[in-house]
This record gives sequence, C-alpha cells and structure tokens, in this order.
Amino acid sequence: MARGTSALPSWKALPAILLLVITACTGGGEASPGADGGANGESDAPTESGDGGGLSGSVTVVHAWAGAEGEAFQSVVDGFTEANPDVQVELRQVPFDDLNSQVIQQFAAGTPPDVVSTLPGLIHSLAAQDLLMPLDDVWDGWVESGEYSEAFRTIASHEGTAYGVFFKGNINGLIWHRNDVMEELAIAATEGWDDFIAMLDEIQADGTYDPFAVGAADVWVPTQWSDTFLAKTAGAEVFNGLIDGSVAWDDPAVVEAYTELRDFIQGYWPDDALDVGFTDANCAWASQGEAAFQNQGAFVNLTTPANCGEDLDPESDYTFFEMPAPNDEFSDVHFVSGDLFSVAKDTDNPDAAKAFAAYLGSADAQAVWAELGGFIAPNATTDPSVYPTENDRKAAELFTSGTAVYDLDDAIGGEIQSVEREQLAALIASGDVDAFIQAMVEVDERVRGE
Amino acid sequence: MSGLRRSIGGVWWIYLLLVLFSILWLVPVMTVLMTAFRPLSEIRDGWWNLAGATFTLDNFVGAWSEAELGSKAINSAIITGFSVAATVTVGALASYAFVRLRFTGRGLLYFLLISTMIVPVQIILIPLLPWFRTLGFADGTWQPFLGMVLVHTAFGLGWAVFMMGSFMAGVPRELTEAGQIDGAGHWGIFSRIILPLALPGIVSFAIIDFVFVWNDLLLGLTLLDADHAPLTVGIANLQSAHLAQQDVISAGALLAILPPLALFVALNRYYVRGLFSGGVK
Amino acid sequence: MAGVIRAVGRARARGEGRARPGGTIAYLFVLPAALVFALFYLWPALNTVLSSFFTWSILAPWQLADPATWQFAGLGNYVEVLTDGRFWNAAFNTAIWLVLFPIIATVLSLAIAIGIWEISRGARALRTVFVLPMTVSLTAAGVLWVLVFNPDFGVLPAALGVFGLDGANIDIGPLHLRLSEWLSNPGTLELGFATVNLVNLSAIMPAVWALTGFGVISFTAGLTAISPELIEAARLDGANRFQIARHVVVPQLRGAMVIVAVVFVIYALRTFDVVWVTTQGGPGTDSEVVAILLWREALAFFDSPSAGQATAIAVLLSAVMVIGAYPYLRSLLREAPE
Repeated sequence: MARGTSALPSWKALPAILLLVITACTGGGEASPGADGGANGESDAPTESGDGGGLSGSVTVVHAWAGAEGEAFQSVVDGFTEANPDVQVELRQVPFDDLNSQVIQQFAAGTPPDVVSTLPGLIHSLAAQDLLMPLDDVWDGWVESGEYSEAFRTIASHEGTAYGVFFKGNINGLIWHRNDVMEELAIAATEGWDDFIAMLDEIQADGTYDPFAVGAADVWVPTQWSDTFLAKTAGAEVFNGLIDGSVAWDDPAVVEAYTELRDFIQGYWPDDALDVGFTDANCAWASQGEAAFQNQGAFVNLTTPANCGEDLDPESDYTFFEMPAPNDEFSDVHFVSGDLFSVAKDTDNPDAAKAFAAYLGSADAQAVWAELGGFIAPNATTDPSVYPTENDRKAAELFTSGTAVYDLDDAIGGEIQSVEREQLAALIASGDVDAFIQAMVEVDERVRGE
Repeated sequence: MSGLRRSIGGVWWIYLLLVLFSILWLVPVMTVLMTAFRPLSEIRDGWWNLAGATFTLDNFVGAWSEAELGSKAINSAIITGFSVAATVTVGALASYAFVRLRFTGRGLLYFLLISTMIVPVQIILIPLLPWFRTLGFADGTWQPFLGMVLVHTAFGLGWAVFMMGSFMAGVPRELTEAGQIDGAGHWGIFSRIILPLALPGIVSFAIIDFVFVWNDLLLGLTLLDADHAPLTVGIANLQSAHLAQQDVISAGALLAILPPLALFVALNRYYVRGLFSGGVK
Repeated sequence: MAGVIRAVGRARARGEGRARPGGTIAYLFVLPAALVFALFYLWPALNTVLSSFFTWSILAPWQLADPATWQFAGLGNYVEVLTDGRFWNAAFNTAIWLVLFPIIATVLSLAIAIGIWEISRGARALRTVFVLPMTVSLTAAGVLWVLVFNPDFGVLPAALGVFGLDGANIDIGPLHLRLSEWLSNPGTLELGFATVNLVNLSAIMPAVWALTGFGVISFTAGLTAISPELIEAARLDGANRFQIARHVVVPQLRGAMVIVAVVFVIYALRTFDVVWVTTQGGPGTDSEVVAILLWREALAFFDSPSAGQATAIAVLLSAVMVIGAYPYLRSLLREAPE
C-alpha cells in the first residue's frame, strides 16, 4: 500500500523516458521520407559520370525474372560489370505477381534498391512522391540520336519528366504453337477473325488437343488476353483512353471487347485455366501435347526450351502467328509491353546507378539478351541481326510496326491494376461481364474521382 | 486412463478409424518428404510410384544456394534465437514483478499485456514500417535484426508474462519466505529460488515462443528486405512465383519444418505442459 | 475495461499479503519489459488507431510529429471501408473461416481425442501424429497442401481418380461440387443471398491439419480429469460406448470445448499465412480474407493513399476480436497471479 516513497519516478514517468529514448534514437535515423527532397546523403556534384573507368561501389537491382530469363538478365549485367570492373551489381529477384507490393514496401521502408524494375503505373506513384531520380538528360541524348521516339519517352515519364528507361520490349497477342501440331491438324494459315474461329471449332471438334493452354493461376496471364481483345476490338484510342482516364469502363466499345473476350473464354479456354500456372501452360502445348495454342508474349521463345525441354528448337519446332483482330479495322494495332527500370532518388551510389540504368537502355545491353532469344530490343538502333531465330525477328518487326498500345494494367498500376486482375479471374469463373464492368467503373471512380 | 476398453468390447473399429485417419493425416508429410528427396521428374506421375525411386539431396542444395533459402534459414535462426532469449529474459523479470511485487500501474500494464494474446498483429503492423525507418532499423546489416527481435519480444511479452507468471506463482510461499528470512533481496529470491523452480514453465514458454517466431510470416514479409528475410518469406515467395519448382519448394519447406519439429520432439513434455497454461497464439 | 482493472485491484487487495510492495526494485524488474512493450507495441498500436483518422500513403506515412503532413479524414476511412464491397467480400470470407474452421477443427479434435482415449496401446504414437503438425508453420502447411492439391501429382486428385471422382460434378441441392481445381474452383454453395466459392475450404484444410493438435491436447487433458467413477456408474447402468461418450464425457469437456473453440475463432479472424500461400486470396477475391485485404490496402494499392483505410481495417478487426473474445479475456485476467 505504500506508494511512491521510493526515489524512482512512478510509472507515469515512463512516457517521459520514452520520449527521451525516441529523440535519442532518431538523431541517427533518416528524416521523413521523400518530403524534403534530396537532403539524405546524396552527392550533389556528379563526379566523372559517364566515364566508365571512374565508377565504383555497389548497385542493388531488383527485378522479377526467374529461371532462363533470370540467367539472361545476368548476362546483360555481366556486360556492364566487364566494362566497369569496380562496380558490383547485386541482383535481387522478386516474384512478378508481387513486384508492386515488394517495391512499394522497400521504398516505404526507406531501403529501396538503387535500380528497380518498374512499370509505368509504378513510376507514376513513386515519382509523385519524389522517390525517383529524373533521367531527362539520358533521354535527351537518346531522342536526339534516334534510339527512342518521343512516344516511348512519354510512357516512361511522369508529368513531363522522364523517370524510367526501357529495357526489355515484348509484344503480346501471339498465338504460339508447335509446327508439327499444325501439320497434324492440317490447318492452313488463317486470314482474319472468322477463319480463326472456324479453325478453333475444328480443333475442338477433333478433340485431340485443347484449343488453348492458359496459365491463369498467374494473375498477369488473363490480362495478356484482355488487352489483346481490347486493342483489337476497341482500337488504340479507346485503349489509351482507358489508361489516361478519358474513356470510361462502361463505354460501349469497352463492353463489347470484354464481351467478345468472355465469349471466347467460354468457347475455347480449358476448364482448369485458373488452376494452371504460366509455366505448366507453356509446356502443355510445347511438350505435353495437351493443347494446340497458347496466347502469350514474345518471351515464350526463350522460356519454352528452358521450361519444357532443351531439345525444343525455336527455329524448327515452334512458332507463332499474331491473333487476328475481332474488329478488322484494328488489325494493325499491336499490344506491346515492356520492362522499364528506374533509379531511386536516395541511392547511395547515384553515378553508378544512373550509368547502369543508361546501360540498360542502350543497344549494346539489349543486344546481349536479344541474342539469347525471347527478347525484343526497344532501342531502335539495335542491329536486327542480333535476333537469333526467325521467331524473334518476326516479333521485333511487329513491335515497331503499326500502332502500338502499351500493357493496360501495367500502365495504370496500383489498385486499379489489382482490381482488374482480380475481376478478370472472376470473369473467367463466372462469365459475368456486367459485374466486371461495374467493378472497374467503381474502382476507377474511387481512385481517380469523378 | 481409458476406462472403457476393459469393460466394453469392440475397440478394434476405433483403432481402425484412428489408424486410417492418422495415415491420412500423414499424407502431406509423405508428400513433402517424397517431393524433397526425389528428383522432380520421378514425382511428376505421382510420388506413390515407388518403383525405381531414387534418393537425392540435390533439391536441398538447390534450395539452400540457388533459391537462397540457406541465407534465409540463417536469418530465421538469428531472429528466432535472439527473440526467444530476449523475450524469456525480459519476460521472466517482468513476470516476477507481476507475481511477487506490487507497483503502481501493475494492473493496467498486466491488462495491456494480456490483451496482446487476443489482438491480432495487424494492430501494430503498418506503422512499424515507417517506425523502423525513424529508429534506424530499416537499414544496415544488424539493425533490421535488432528491430525484429524487439518487435517479436514486444509481441511475445503478453504470453511470456501469462505463462511464466503462472509458473512462478506456483512456487510455494514457504520457500520465498525462507529466502527473505535468510536476508535475500528480491534479486536473490528471483535468481536462486524462483528461477530454478519455475524452470519447466520457462522452458515451455521458450519452446512455444521459438515455434511462433520461427513460423512468423507477416512481420517478416512486411518489415524485412531480401537480405534479412526469414525462411517463411523465402518459401512464400517461391510459392507465389508459380515456377513449378515443387522439388525446391519441398526441400525449403522441410528446412523450415525441421527446427521447431526437432525442438518439439526433444522437449515434448515441456511443450505440452506449456500449452496447458492457456490457449495457443 | 475499468471494471476489469478494478476487479484486478480488488483481488490484489484481498491477497494483501501475497505480493510485497515493490519499491525501486519492482520497477527495475519490469522496466525492460515496459520499455520494449511501450516502444514496439503500444506506440505502434496507438499510431494505428490515430492514423486511421487521416488520409495517407505508405510512401508518405502519417507522422505524429509533423502536423504539416496531416490530412485529416475524420471517420472518412471508416466510412469508405464499411461501404466498400470489397471489404464486405473479405468480411464474408473471414466469416466463412469463422464458422467452418472452429467447427471442423473442434469436432475433429474432440473425436480424435476421445477415440485415442478409448484405446490403450499406441495412444501416444497416434496422438503424436495429430499433434506434430502444430510445429509446422502455416506457411509450410500451405505449401504442403498445395502439393496435395496438385492436379498432376497430388494425392487428392489421384485418390479421387481411383474412384473415378476426379473432376466429377456432384450437385446436392444448393451444393455444386466440382472436385477439381482445388485452388481455384472446387465447387460452390448457393446461399440465396450469396454464392460461396468453396475455394475457402482449400485454405481452411491446411489450417485444420496444422492446428487440430491443439484441440487434441486440450481435450486429452480434460479427459484425464474425468473421474473414473462417473464412467463406471454409467457403464453399470448399461450404457454403451457411444452413450457414455455422449452423455458423460462430452458434457465434462464443455469447458475445454469453449477454450478450444475460442482459440480457433481468434485464429480464424486473423488468418493470413495459409491463405497467402495457397490461393493469395484468389481466384480474384474469392478467398480474400480481411488480413489479406488489409495488407494489400497498405502496400499494393499505391495509386491512391489507402494506408488510412488499411489501419482502419486493423482497428475494426482488433475491435471485433477484443469485443468478441472479451469473456475469454476476463477469464485470462482472473487467472492473473496474485
């Protein structure tokens, strides 16, 4: 019962003690993130940037490539470290499905990598918080020398300033298949949408193969399909309008595209699409003989031998044709995507990090992977002969032809991207286009306001 | 003691059911053992095909080095080891205070501590991210570990005080009174009388805390970067990648399962006894 | 809460001689704990509650010390959360967990505990089989079960295949079973007002597998406490095994059943690990539980500052758990060492 006769303060003094502890600890810690630009240990005077021999230190790079693609990226990195022997590049791979949240988490924790794989949506959010290094000077040089067009620069920019570099290009909407299967099914090349449907009906009637293998367990796979349908049914204007918000999700053209998609799914997709991942789907047509086609990107050229058997030869065993357009008017609209890289503003090694990013955007770096296959170099000055197989050359040609639209959900990012991926899965399961459109309208309103 | 079997017959069908059920219960374990110790090509048609089964440790090698689960296992060991040590130490001291001493705020603090046994970890999760940053725990080689240890300790104190406290309260008063008569101060009583006698309870708690910290996913996923991430995060990331690398994931899962399992097997009765002083986290 | 503290204080007063006045020493004993607890639990918890009244993004976090960055939202976050269809979807999935998991796990562990209690030999070995999975993290348990569900080499599809049931469509009233695609669409249950995707069960199963052991241990302890005379008396009255189990044993275990059920309910409310590893809340949001939505709101939805909503969800979840488990909390406190 005796209270407080001791010399020590009672428990009520604990908060005061805590405050002392907190202020003592924050003395060495970082200031609030982002708000005060550049006061955190960044060197102001760039010393000898661009002089390869002068770069040193370490650069951490976060990316989302695993397996064969991861190895290919390592080769690209090796090209940089050979030219800059004093720089150590440390690669960290995260699962692609989690790329957004992992990157956000690292920036939020204040420990971002020096160079990070990004997509336009992510670039917008990070740049809005002043977390990325502007790369305008690099882009000025590129546009001048014709390595990239202004259109590319815009995709990599936020509010007029460039914050990313393009590294890996890809074109989607490619219907991959084995040559011998096409022969076996005695299918002639298709011209146009109706022919395509007729062919699929034949394959289904025949029954030996599923028309398509789809890896919808990976959340990004259904967007490969939806963007293809959107681009080739509704056209580039509507597509880009969805990205910048000028077109609403319940626009009739949009609804038509997704209805077309839903019908196709119900007609020609396998029942277990949502249970099977990309890798297994890849092998379902390439080596397991279960399906005839897979609608995917150009990178499949590289992943197929790695995943399904090294004896598979891209030249002779398998190839692709581009999916015809449901709407003839838009047959030359191509749905492309790409991987960009950005530099963290708070990097400890700004010179090396920036140089590495610039390297990634260069024709030399891109040629390294291009030679391995399954890679399209966005840099226009890349020597076309680097492409090792006919498949890669065909894809690269398509990439620069016609009208290109950039991956929709990657371009928007954030909650809208998350919701679209989830709602697509729901659409696949239920076939309810109205529910999908409604959900997208709601999230669009919620995130972008009226 | 089962009082029925001797007097009433017909226990064989209970046996049958139980044995069948326990076989079913072991299926996931068999699956992971087979998938981890055999090459993936053999497993593709079903691990129950035992003809020509080969044994390999390649998957473990792959998991340890290529999938970098080795360094993550070491991270887990560091985090868990220090967390348990810290929680036991700090918790034992605090338990003694709650049980044997009176001080202002005792009731309130005890209430707050006990409530952590019910409130989910999400109540502290999100602000911890910027908080780590402010405290300087987000960066560096050892700082993130220190931060994690402190968070796990804070989160485990409720359990610590509840479990260890009840064991300490069970120490007979005569013993402590004898110590007082002998002139021992609180520290003496604590270290020489209470601690040794409450040791089983402390060990029980240590085991439970070990299992809990070792198996944590959310805190590691949210607060730690790739260099410091624990094994659970490594496995979860492997799984989300859908890379059809079931062999490596299985080996990794076994790596994650073995330490707590070994601990349990070795110190079985402590674990069970500890669980009995309350619910499970 | 004040009532609880008073109760503790009264108990303290009753046990007058038990705990000595601590003085300085008491504070030294409790200071490290209090410090760590305050810094790494109380303050973050307070921060969660406070920041739920502001609009902020994890990239520009809410800070008490920096009023200039505050964007007061009042109850706005709570309103947004409680009017968000996605939140209610997550709440619905969590409710499924809340109902199914404790029931399945409690009934199963009760049956197993009683079964083992009835036999003499091998009891220990059998019990070990069911208890050992408790040491397996829910993450690893999820990974193990993904292997079991695997359409190509998983035991479940293969076993069903033996009976020709793999992929079979079975319709029983409102229940539509598909018995395949365990991780995306194993079947649905029509509830009139909603359609439940049974994929939630695919996440619940690993949790049942891993945590039933707790029930087994608890019930075993309860069983050993039943006095043999009660059983003898019932047997003498001519009761058979079942009747004894039903009318004598189970009622005696009521206390244990409550505790076990409450612990399982608490787990069900905050489950994250096993869902994250098996379905990631998918397909779409069909198995997204509140804990996963919270994580996504904080870290994945970066196009709008939604961390305030994430903390609001955390507060709501905690409130539900504290209110729901309040009687349990009181009983824990009553056991407080005096």
